[in-house]
Parts: sequence; structure tokens; C-alpha cells
Amino acid sequence: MMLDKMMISCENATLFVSQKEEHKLSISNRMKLLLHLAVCKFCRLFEQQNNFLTRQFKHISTTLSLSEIEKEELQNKINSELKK
Amino acid sequence: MNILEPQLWVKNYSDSLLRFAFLRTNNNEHAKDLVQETFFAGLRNVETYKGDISEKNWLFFILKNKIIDHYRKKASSLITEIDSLMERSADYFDDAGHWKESAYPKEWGRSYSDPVEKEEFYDILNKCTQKLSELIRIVFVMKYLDEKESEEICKELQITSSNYWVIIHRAKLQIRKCLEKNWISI
Repeated sequence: MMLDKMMISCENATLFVSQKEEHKLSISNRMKLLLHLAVCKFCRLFEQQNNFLTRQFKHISTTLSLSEIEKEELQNKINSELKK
Repeated sequence: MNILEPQLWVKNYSDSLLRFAFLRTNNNEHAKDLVQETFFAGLRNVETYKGDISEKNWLFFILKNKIIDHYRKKASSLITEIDSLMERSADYFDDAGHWKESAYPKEWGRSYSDPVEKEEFYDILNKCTQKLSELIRIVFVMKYLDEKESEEICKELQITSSNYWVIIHRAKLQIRKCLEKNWISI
């Protein structure tokens, strides 16, 4: 009976992984997550990959830029605004 | 004391402002418009510039406010997206909440603690984040690029904390699935 209450689904376990990352997981949910990870290899793998990914997210970037023509047009607009 | 030099704004700041805006709107045209609006708002407010922060930070401050406005305008359509998000986890989990066989996480054939050295990984990661739906991407960017706390994100976007967790959960599931599909044994 007690154990039943401790069992969570993979859907909840993967959600708890994110809440743990932000230190928003209660102690009882932390216990439930630990128990789940002890028996579920898929969620264990999910957690490892999640922690790896979280460290990579800060490298998300873009190399987008304005063309030289667009830059010239934009600066011209600013300049004519400056003259007013 | 810092001064403003609007005659150099485009040369000095347009690309960095554009990149910042693009990562947060995922739309080339919107990003360009936001950069232009930022410069014009700057021109209208030159008198309020006291020189206590750098010109660059001042322009970014204007842009950040424009982006928040941009999000607010989208708020109502984003709320409809929340409703559909609440239902769709069936892509990954069965009725009992267990992984579907088709969604079982697979080994990526690499260590999860070593840094990634290949540029290709980041290309794929960028593409995978661009594929997130609008609301998910906005929350994701606020959390991981702007490093905002969840309470602040909820307040700015006017979403509940349970909405927030569903969104973050979905972002993670989608990005890891997309990477798994496209990033084979790098």
C-alpha cells in the first residue's frame, strides 16, 4: 500500500527531473523520483541526457546579420531623423 | 560618462541586436522590425539617456522591452496553445504514463559528461529549438538564454506555474527527440 503511493509514472518522473534541476522538487517527490530511477532504465537515460543537454543550451546562437544594403538604408533613416 | 552616437548605431549594434531579437522571435522580419523600432525609440528618448549605462546596454534595454511587448501581443493566441499542450503528451507516453515503445530514449553512443567538440551538434541543436512551437520556444529561451527564474517567466507571460512545467517538460522531450533523430553518433 505504502509502496503503491511511492510509484510514479515515467511521465511524472521526467517532469520531476526538470523540477529537480530548478530546485523546485519537494522532498517526497525527490524520494519518488529516486525510487523510479532505481527501477527504470529509460528514465535514468533521460535524466543523464537531460543534464547533458541543459549544459549545452547556453550555446544556442545565430549568425544572422543585416545585408550591407539593409544597413545603409537603416542608417540613412536614422540620419534623416537626426536632421529633423 | 557615456554618450550616444546614433550615426554609428547600425554599424556598431545592428547585428548583435538582430541576433538577440531573432533568437527570441524566431522570425527574420519581426527581428528586423524590432531592431529598427529600437533605434527609433532610442532617437525619441535621447533626452532620457543619462550616460550612466553604456550606449549598448541602453539599446538592449529598449529592445528587451520591445520583445516583452511583442510577447504580450501574442498572449491570447499563446493561451490557446496551452490548452492543446495539456493534451498531446500521447506522442511520448501511454495512458498509464509509461514510455511508448516508439519513444524509448536510446543511448547516444557518447559520454554525457564530456564537452561537445563538434560544431555540427550545435547546428542541429539550433534547428531543433527553432522547431519548437512559439510558446514553448519563448519559455525555453527565457529560461535558458535569458536565465530568468520560473516565477519571473510566469509573471511576464501571465501563465500559471503548472503551465510553466508542462511547457518546460514538453520542450525537453521535443528537443531530445529531435536531437536523437538528427544527431547520429557524433
